[in-house]
Amino acid sequence: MNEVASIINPGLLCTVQDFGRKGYRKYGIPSSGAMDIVSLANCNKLVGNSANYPALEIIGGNFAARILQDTELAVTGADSEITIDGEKTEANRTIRAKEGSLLRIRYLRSGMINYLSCKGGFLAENALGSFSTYAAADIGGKKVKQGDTLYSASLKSSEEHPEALSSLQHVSEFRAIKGLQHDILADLVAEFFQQTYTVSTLANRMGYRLEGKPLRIPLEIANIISFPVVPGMIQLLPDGKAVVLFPDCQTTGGYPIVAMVIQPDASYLSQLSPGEQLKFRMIDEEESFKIIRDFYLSLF
Amino acid sequence: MKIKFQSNVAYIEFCNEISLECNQLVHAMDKALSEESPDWLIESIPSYSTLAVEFDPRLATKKTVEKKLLLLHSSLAGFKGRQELHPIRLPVMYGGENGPDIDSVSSITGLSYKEIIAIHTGRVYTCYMLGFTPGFVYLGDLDPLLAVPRLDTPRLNVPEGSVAIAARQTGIYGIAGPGGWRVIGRLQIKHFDLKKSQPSMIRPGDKVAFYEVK
Repeated sequence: MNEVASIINPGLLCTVQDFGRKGYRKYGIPSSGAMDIVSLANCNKLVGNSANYPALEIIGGNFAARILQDTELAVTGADSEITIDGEKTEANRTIRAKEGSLLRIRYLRSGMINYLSCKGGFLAENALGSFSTYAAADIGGKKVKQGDTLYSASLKSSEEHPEALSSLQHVSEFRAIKGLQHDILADLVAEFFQQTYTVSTLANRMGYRLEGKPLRIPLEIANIISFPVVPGMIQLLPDGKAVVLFPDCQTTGGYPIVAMVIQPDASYLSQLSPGEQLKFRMIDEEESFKIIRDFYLSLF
Repeated sequence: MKIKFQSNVAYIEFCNEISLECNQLVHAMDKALSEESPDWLIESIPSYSTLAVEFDPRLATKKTVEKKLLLLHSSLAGFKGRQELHPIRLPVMYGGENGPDIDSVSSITGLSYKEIIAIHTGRVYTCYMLGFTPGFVYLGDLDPLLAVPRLDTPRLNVPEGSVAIAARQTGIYGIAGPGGWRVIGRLQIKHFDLKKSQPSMIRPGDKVAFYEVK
């Protein structure tokens, strides 16, 4: 077998993720996949992988692994200290790691989530067309634990790839469009876009709760007929709090959508840690479509 | 019918209510779209009254998508719904540890166990949608005699295959997990299997009936 790494410390939550599962949300199965798609794509590109290959998503830093073969690795995402055998190395560039070396990712200066790629991708269970981990229902991928040995998926990769890519963009104003129920929410939409929010400690791969002045929703629209929801959508809960949905979110929901943060800004938003402040900037449908199109073009 | 866009997801809203007629349109549209299978289609998600269609923005503009959806919709004119002769028939063991909430359903409705089971097995249901958790099947419409409120405190761990009721709906849990519907029985077959490429035996729009096994 093609052993790549032995896990000494997986950190808070370490899972294998790719771009997510497509086509199964109609059965109630979330797409899952990377929280920060931009950083996942970048770490793959740095080792010659396709952008959507399975990589490790490391939430909350404090990760350590023994490298078991000479290979190319890359770390992207949160601004962290990365060392190989105690020597500092850089994020967002190709790392040529030697067999037996010790990789550490620690001390998060800013950001919450790192991605670690290896040439050929990390091997995990391919369930329903994706290597992504949906840990809540134990579907696919791999939830990485201390002592685990990780293998290369040995997917086809290229010898030619960029040596370095620019680091994560730090933004505190996220571009969003008016939500699906903006017409019935009326003035609350404008209020939402004026507010400064704080990321709450209730933040996980399903969604981030935002703290701010509650937006009082008229009772008759607090619960509407359940409809499909997708990552990036921002729900208004009956208590007036807002939740940004992320890739492990439920497939349907009955709360009104006040706004939708678009990619790549949803990727950047996933890097905010509890206590950080943010605002949303309203853009129109036409602009958002141009941005999402450019985003797709840049990914692949 | 209204089409709204949220980034690269089109939302087709057929009505604003829970009704079989409207829900059949959602599934007919979903079927027509997957048969056509345009290259820009990433996935479609049917629900009670809305079909969401995620598309690849590299391969289609909103105009292209809207035009195709309107065309498909016009081809559904006069649509009368799917006329299945045979519903999917599912064996259920009612009451006891399989259906711990049958007692509270009995005391709320004043019906005996036997009557509850007869009413629950006495109808053919339609699968409105799957959602909430993987493989959770929403079936309607339940006989109004069995319309009970949800539990005040949701159960933390409802076993997979549990058959439950709430208001005018009955549902089946695909995986073990929390849930607030009143559990009256448990399927005696596996209806949701992640090892299969088609994980759910029951798909949106399907007809379903229950029968009792002891």
